[in-house]
Amino acid sequence: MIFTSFEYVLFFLAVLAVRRCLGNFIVEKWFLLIASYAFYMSWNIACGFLLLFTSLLDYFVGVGLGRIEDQRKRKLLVVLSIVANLGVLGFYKYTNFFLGNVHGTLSAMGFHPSSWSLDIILPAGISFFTFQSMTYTIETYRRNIRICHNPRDFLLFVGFFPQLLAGPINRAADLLPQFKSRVRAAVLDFEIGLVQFAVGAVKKLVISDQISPHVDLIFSTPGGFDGFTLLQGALGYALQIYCDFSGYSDMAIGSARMMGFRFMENFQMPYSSVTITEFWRRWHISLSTWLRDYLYIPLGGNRKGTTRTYLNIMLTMLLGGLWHGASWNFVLWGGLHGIALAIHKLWMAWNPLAALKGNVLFDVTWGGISRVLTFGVVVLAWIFFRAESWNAATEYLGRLFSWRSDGIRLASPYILPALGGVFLVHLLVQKDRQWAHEVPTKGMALRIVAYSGLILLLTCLAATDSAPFIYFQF
Amino acid sequence: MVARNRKLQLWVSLLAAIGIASIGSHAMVRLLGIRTGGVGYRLLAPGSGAPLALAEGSSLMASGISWELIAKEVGMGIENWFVAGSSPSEWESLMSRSPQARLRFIVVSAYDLNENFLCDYRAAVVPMTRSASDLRESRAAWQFSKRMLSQYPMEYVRALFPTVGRSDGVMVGLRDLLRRITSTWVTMESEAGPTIASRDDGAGDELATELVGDWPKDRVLRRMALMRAACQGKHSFDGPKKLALWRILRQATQQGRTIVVVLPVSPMYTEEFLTSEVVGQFEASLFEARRNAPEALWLRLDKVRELNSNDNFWDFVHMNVDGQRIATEAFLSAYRKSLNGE
Repeated sequence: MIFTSFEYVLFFLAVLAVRRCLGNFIVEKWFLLIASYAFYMSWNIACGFLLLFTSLLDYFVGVGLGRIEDQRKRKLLVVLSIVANLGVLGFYKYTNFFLGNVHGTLSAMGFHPSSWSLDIILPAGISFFTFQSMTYTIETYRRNIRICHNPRDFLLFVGFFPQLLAGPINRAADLLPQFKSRVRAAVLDFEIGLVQFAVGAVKKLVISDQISPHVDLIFSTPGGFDGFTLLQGALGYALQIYCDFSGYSDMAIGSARMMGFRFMENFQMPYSSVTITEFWRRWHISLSTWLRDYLYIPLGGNRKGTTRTYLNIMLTMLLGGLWHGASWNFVLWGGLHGIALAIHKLWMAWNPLAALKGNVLFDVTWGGISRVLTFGVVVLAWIFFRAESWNAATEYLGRLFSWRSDGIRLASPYILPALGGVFLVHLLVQKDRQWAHEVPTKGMALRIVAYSGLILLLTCLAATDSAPFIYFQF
Repeated sequence: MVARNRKLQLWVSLLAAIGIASIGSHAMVRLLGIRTGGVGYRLLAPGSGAPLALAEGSSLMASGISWELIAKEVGMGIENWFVAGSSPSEWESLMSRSPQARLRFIVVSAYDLNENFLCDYRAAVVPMTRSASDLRESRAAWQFSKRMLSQYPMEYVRALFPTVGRSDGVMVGLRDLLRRITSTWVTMESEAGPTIASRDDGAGDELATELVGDWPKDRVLRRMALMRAACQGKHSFDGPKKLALWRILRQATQQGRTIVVVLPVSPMYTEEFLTSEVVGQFEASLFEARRNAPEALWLRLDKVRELNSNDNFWDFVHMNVDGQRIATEAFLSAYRKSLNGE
């Protein structure tokens, strides 16, 4: 049941309607919990039990942390929670990757063992709900949040359906209190949620799903295309993954908002970023802040000297890459971003152009150059993220940078207009503004025009068969 | 009071937006000439008096055989009811419109019988109860069932927004409009699906001399990508279309003579989609259908070696003038042999 499906619309309307009829807050929370598990189990029934198990484990760890005062025992408990969570995540996500690498290494050493792999189904959204659940135990250990004594509320915090499959990874401090008292969406909240949901649907169905067949085609045989087509494919994938994931996040946040719940924003026009550091403040915000707060800072952050700072950046980004999937391509993608972040940090420390700052002409020119450079680095890294293998990625880059003309030139009638449209939006819209939040506060005429445009886009240009969201595989 | 006012504003703006978007969607259909369905009728070959033969098939049938020559051979006029991109499921619903037919031609191919190509107008022609029972009987996967059954509520949405689910048509129409306006955009070409709507109207043969083998590689790739997306890259022959074909065959053979023609697809299509496993499934499906209606005459034009060339097709599945000539000759030859009891 993906957000763009007819069943989800029916399911969501039913949840809204039933919830409205329920007079009792306790009954309402039970209803939301059952609906959330039904939503999750529509993918795979057995995985619902795994979700229940990991949630209950963290709930009891939380209860234990509330009762125990001995710091060593508290530490032991939180380590138990982290090991169990990462153990489950590691087993489902990385076992075959690990076995494959061991097998490959042994083969390279001259041994020839038979192929090893286990028949493991990756539970949908495991990376997201594991990280979300961990925020609770870690913050409880740090005594930053109150213990949740109600298992129902905790299960709802981890399993609440709009965020369950691909985030945003909400913090316990933000979401748990919202289950303490009854929330009802004000009309404005409902309207904002509806608009955000529709904007997300446009991103997914009108842009991402329409360009994906051509992007897939280009990435499937990069050796057959010329430089122009490969550039188009790389830019197309940058657009596809952004519209796919931010579209999903918009629909998740919009669904929650229509019910009166607030989720953290996950994207804020990342391709408008002037630096790679800014990019990571705008791209997958809930993951990047999670990595900052629960990995980079605990590793020492920038408090333990220059070398250690760069090491911490690299380690955080490499693990961030691995979080996306069990493949060296993702690790490499994380590594490239780590290198880019380190270079930016070095540049900021050196700051050779400081004297020129304040000059309008310099600021405009340098701003433009920085934007193009940042976007270029991001697109380059996406090639490693998307390519089928290391060899495919290097072939892609080799042909792209040598601007080969011996392949097929494919001028995609989908990618090129989509790139033009999104580029225009990035030029016209200020990067810190939230269109979906602002329009509902405007006058009727403007709202009618905006909503008509959204509906017309969806009814005329939405792809007929929606593909699953890219981030579901992570 | 403020909340009530706000709620009223939301309702008014949503209803107004839906109204404006609906007008826009209808205008788009008119402006871009997008087909929105409807059952069509055509006389494939006139005869003396009312036509007594009925041909059932998709646009491949119209382009693959010269029906006028067939009509002369069988000595009766041939008629056809059609909807764009149709398959046995839709033909079954349409065949009742010609109860007087004494001779029926049922024209199929690996393309038509692929369960994963869904006719855009299915919901308008095939009752939902029949679709549901066929899905149940064929034990179709939930994803596939959902895809097919979701066409029915979409039919209601289309009353308000006729462009829903027709984004390819909108894109092609917009590009054609742009090309007409600029008239210099010579490099662009239509991205319509392989079943060209105008063919179903029986309109013109202006494209029928084109060779798919002459297409530029980028055009081949774009069209192939569209086709792969339309069938989700899958071919299977064990579902509602198979059941509908069985029923058609049973009913047709009870009512009179029945000739089943199996048309070829281009080697390009075969290379892309028809793996040996898929071909095996297709053959098994035909074998079962044949066993189900042993009285029918089966003409396997897909086995005619001369047709196995991209030069005989104007796109991946439709035959051009040359292909039609060879196919018709092969048809007549096999038909005459069958009359002589060979």
